[in-house]
Formats: sequence, structure tokens, C-alpha cells
Amino acid sequence: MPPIRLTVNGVEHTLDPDPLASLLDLLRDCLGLTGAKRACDRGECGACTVLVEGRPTLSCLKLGVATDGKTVRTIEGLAAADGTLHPVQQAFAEHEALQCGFCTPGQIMAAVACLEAGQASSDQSVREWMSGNLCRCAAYPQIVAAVRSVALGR
Amino acid sequence: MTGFHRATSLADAIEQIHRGATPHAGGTEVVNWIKDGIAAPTRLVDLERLGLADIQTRGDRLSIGALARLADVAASALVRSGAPALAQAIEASASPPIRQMATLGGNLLQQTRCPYFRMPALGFGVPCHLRRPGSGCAALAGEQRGASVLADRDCRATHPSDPAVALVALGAELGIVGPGGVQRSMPVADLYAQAPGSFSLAMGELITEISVPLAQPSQASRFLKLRDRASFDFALVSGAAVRASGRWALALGGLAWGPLLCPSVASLPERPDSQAVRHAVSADLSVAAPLPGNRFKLELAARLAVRLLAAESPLPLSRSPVSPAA
Repeated sequence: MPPIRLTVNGVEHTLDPDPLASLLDLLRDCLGLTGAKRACDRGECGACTVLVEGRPTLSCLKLGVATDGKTVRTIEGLAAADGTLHPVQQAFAEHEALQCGFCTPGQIMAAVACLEAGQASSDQSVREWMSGNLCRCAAYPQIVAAVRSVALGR
Repeated sequence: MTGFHRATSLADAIEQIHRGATPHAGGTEVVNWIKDGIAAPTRLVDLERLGLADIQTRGDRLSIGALARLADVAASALVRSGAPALAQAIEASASPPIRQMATLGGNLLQQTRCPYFRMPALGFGVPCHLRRPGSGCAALAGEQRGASVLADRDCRATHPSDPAVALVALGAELGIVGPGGVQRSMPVADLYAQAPGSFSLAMGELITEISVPLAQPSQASRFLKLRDRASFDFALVSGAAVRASGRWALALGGLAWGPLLCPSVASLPERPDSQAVRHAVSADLSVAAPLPGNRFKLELAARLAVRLLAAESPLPLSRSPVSPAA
């Protein structure tokens, strides 16, 4: 089948993947973007969360070939070119919303989507929107606080 | 190596499926089937370019394209006002990113969550009639919480879809297209009328539409899900109650292969007392033959029905935009 073209963090890539390769496989192993993590690899933990066409997406379940023509944002594309952290990244650091950091790229991408969808108006709404992202270090209270602080502009 | 073909038309998709290709929509189910060794397709046929994702009114019905994403269906103003139980059921389903990827049609066609069925292919020769017909059922002597309370000679699989429960209570129908463009419609409940693990679709048939009777002004509906965790967990027992045209419709999930309708509640008054609700549900569940490990679900089902229907219940039925299911 013909190669696919997808835009990742504003850069267009042409790839010719195995049909069963996941978007996670392509990001990590073809494009060197190792921020998205392969943890459960079956859509149950959220560590692989990236944004596809603005939607939070479990890249372990998204076939790479199904992203032809699509726009993808990963954790590597959040900070500004001069290194200034995205407000969500800054908030995670300030609120200590991570311990080991393994779930963190997925948490942050889910949080960005949560905020962009206007779903961070309460703690309960944040918890529900981010319920697909597990954190074995149990940084959940700090994660909610970080997301709420961005929503409140603090 | 598995092939990946992007269907260019409905006829193209049906032709591919009829010749043995496995449909790929959101991918949240079929990709795990491949990883778990449940399916080993030689060809996937991708349905994304077919559209079939519109949500609109069509005559006296609310029409939802089968490829509409769960999140989009739940967010639709038409759905939230016309079929609140469906929006609530979707919001209780899966997890937020899965709801952004998965389609309503695919949700109805997901397979059972029985841990023995889902065990990866290397799973130690575990008996599972669905994976290896005639091999037995490991749930009979093992993990039973999620198993069906109905007896079956071969398999105790339950169907995990929450939207299916709401759709059955709402009287929803499926629009289906098959080989040669032949169209038919079927009540959602009939999709699960075959043996556990099977769907009432012929080879090559594709669900294209889910339609729900438009709510009359007095219609109200609600969905409730009981599960171990507050989110991202399958139902132990779930239920959808719809009050329309002076009658109740109650469908229960988590108990069998497909939602169970409770016909005995239909003639209950608008504000029945809890004893009347219990009596009706017990009558409808008298056919149950639960296992020791899932017998508790019958009592849960009765209590859930009381919460949904009884006059003393604090839960109001929703006539308009919803809050997340309790």
C-alpha cells in the first residue's frame, strides 16, 4: 500500500509502516519521539496518550496507517521553540504532579486536551476527563491541582 | 502480513468483509483482538472514509451514524435532550480517550470481557468455548463476577456495552446493509439473540445506523452503572429506565449476553413503590440460574431497579442535559 503522511508537532513525515504497527511504534521507533510511553500496550493505562486531530488518543491502539493525513501532537511539541514550558508543563512542575514521571507525558497531553475542551471547570470534571490516565505513584491530587491551576489562570 | 485497505464506499467495504476482511473503525477493540490472539485477520478494511457519523433527526426518529465516535454522540445536543439515558451510558463507558476513538457501532459489537476469553494466546490451554469450541468454560470453576446469571450449555459470556442497555430500553433499531446493498432494520436487542459470543449479523453485513424514537415531551430516561471503581470499569450490573407513553421500559446490563428487558415493570405506575419494583424485577429474573460467584448480582439488579424507578428514589429521571452517571 502507498506510504502514509502524517504531521507530528508541525513536521510532516512520510512513512511506510507495517499495517499492524501502532502510532506508538511509529512515534517511538521511527521518529525517535520517546515521550509517549509503552506501558500496558492495550489501552488501559493512558501512558501512550497523544493528541490526534486534537483528540486524546491511545497511540498503542491507533494503527499508524490510520493516521494518514492526520495531525499529531506529542509531549515533545508542547514547549516553545525557545524552551519555555507550556503552561501545563509548568503547572505540573510547580505542583509536583509527578514522582517517577513515567505516566507524565500521557497525563500532560490528556490535561492539554481537557483544558482545550473546556472540561477543567471543577476537580470532579478534571478527574473524570483524566480517568483514562493511571499513575502508580498516586500523584492524582497534585495532577488535579495542576490542571485546575491552569484553568483558573493561577 | 496483514493487509490494510481503506474502503472507498459502503459497497466496497461490504464486498471486502464478505470476502473475509475484518472491519476496522476506531480500532480500540480489533487491535486488542489481534494482540490477544482472538483474531488474526489477513486483511483489515478501514471504514473511516465512509462517513456514517452524522447525528440528526430523520422523521420521528433520532438517527446516529454507526461510525459516530462515542464522545461525539454523548456531547450531541440532540442526544442529550432526546435520549438522555444514551448520553449517560456513553459517559459511563470506557475512558475519555477511548470514547474519542471508539464508534457507537463498534461498541455494540465488542466481545465479552470474560478474563478467560481475553487471555492472550499463550494462556496455558485455559478452557474457553468461545476461543476453542467444546473446550469447556473456565469461569464455572474460576472467576465468575462478570459471568452471566443465565444458564447456557457452553458459555456464560456477558456483553459489556453500556450504550446497548440504554438503546434497548429506548426501543432503538439498527440499520444494516449487506451484500448486494440489501438493507434491513433490527431491534438492538435482537443483535444479541444468538448464543453467547455471537451476533445476529450475516457475513458481510455492516451496521450503518442506530435510530431511536424521538422523545415525546413527557418522556424521561436515565442510566445507572454499578461497578467496583468510579470510572473505567465494566458494569457489575447496569440499568436504563425509560418512561414514555405512560409505560416503563427497563433494561438491565451485566447479567447476560446482551441487555435483559424486564417486561413486568412496563405497567407499573409512574411513581411505583420499591416493593412493587422489586416484585416485578424478581419475576423477570426468576429464569436466572446464577453461579455462586455472581448470585449477588440478582440482588444488585433489584436494588438498581429500585433506584431507577421507585418513588422513594432520590434519582430524578433526566429530561434534559445530563450529569455523569452516579
